[in-house]
Amino acid sequence: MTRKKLTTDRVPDPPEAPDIRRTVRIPPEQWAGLVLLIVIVALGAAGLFERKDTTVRFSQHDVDVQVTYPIRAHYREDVQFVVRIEHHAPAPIDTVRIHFPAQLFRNVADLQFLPDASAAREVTITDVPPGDAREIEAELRPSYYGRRSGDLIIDAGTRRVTVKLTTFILP
Amino acid sequence: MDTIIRVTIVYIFLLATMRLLGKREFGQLSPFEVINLLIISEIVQQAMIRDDYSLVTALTGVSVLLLLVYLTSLLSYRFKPVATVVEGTPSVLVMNGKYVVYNLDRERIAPDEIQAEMHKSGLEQLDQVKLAVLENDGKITFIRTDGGEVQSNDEEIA
Repeated sequence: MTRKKLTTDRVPDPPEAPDIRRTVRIPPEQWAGLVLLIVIVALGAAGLFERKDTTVRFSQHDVDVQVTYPIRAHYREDVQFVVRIEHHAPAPIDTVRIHFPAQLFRNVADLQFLPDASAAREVTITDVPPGDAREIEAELRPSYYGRRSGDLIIDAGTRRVTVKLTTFILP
Repeated sequence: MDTIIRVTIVYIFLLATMRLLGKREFGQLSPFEVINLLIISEIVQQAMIRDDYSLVTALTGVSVLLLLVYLTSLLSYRFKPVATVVEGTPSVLVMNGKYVVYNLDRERIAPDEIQAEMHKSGLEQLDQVKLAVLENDGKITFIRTDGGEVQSNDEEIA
């Protein structure tokens, strides 16, 4: 008795579905979804969802002020405000007070100042010799969404410099 | 922009590697479903547990992924060669009661596995099988020699 062969070396093609003329039709609700997705991707590609820092410079009464801060950041992401003060007056400045705006420092976590600030978010620097530059840093994590603005006030002796800061916190 | 590039690279990489791995590895889910589940969960997870807690980044990532999925399905439907590249083609495993050895080797499917699938479909002998096809979603479908109905594999035992 011969054993029936259970294998074949032939490699058949699977049955194919009949071919039809294929036309792409996108119904209105899919168009709406597509537009939404494309807009989100386009905004993302343009960098509008990314963190962005800016630097503003002011020069007033022999005092140069440079403030680097986030104009766009994410919720609960570490952000830094850096204030650099340089003075060119011939005499030293006894006291420089940097007052950080309350509006931008409310509802934040892990707030730290370098050097230390008072409870009213005011950093005081003393004895700044002519031509010297000092840097003040504030680090925090915003726990709010949306746009906030406030004035950063720098009092250097009798001189006062005000810088308007605006930050937008994305979810 | 970084998110868009990373999602696109991961999508293409996963799509390509899953096509190369073969159909059988993801028999319960189609490759697209696996990719979508993997990427969406990863993006959302990253957005939830990473330091930035960024919802906008997650939304951008998911939007890129969904656009790619839509584009792939659109191109696959419109152009058959694209569908062949992306989804593959079914393989005949049994033809007129005989194993097609070349395809069994290529898909790494042992006769035992086909036998088990036959039993699930209510088939006892190989002679009863006119055609057994490994479909693109990794499932094996049977056509009986006598033209009779095949019991569904998915039926649950009451």
